[in-house]
Amino acid sequence: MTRAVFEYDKDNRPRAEIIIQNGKHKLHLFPVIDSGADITMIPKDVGEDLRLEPPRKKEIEEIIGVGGVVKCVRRNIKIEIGDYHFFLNSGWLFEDEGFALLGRDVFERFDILFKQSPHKKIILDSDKKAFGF
Amino acid sequence: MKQKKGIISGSADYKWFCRLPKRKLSKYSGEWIALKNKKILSNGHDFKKVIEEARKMVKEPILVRIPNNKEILIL
Repeated sequence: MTRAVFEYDKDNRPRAEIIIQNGKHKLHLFPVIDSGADITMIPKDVGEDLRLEPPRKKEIEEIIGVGGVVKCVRRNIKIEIGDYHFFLNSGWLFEDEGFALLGRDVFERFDILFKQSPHKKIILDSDKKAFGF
Repeated sequence: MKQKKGIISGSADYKWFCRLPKRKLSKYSGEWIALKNKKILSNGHDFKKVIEEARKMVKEPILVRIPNNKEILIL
């Protein structure tokens, strides 16, 4: 069982702490946890720093958000939360700056409890019966 | 990251960042910041410049993008 306890920043954004890795290239980030995002998203420059394979035309997908349509490609990226590691077929926004977001593909691996008020904590639990649901 | 008997809590840098006051965060509105050891090492809109500068100081800086404080995020 792995339980991660994260916090909200002072702008009330739920932040995780992760290391993302592509081969030998890795980055330490504090992404926003976004229950509205279908998949985990990586902005352009972060993907370039990880030396993700450049997009091929036939791989390009369109992602629809409130701000409009953006293009992305899927790339398999290793995510580390403490000693809990997993691979995610994340969306790389190869043309756009944006935010690193942990989406609901991460939620499939944990039960996640948001306690914005008053505790300002987010609890991720890999034991899916931990909260008694 | 701190880890004890399967429980992970954020690193000292993570906790320090989450507790930065709003007025301090707003100084970096819309920018990337690189931090380590409870210090902001570099900041700016250009991710590559921010990380290059930080890597001259530490091996593995932590990168965070601060939302623009005039925008409400609907992600």
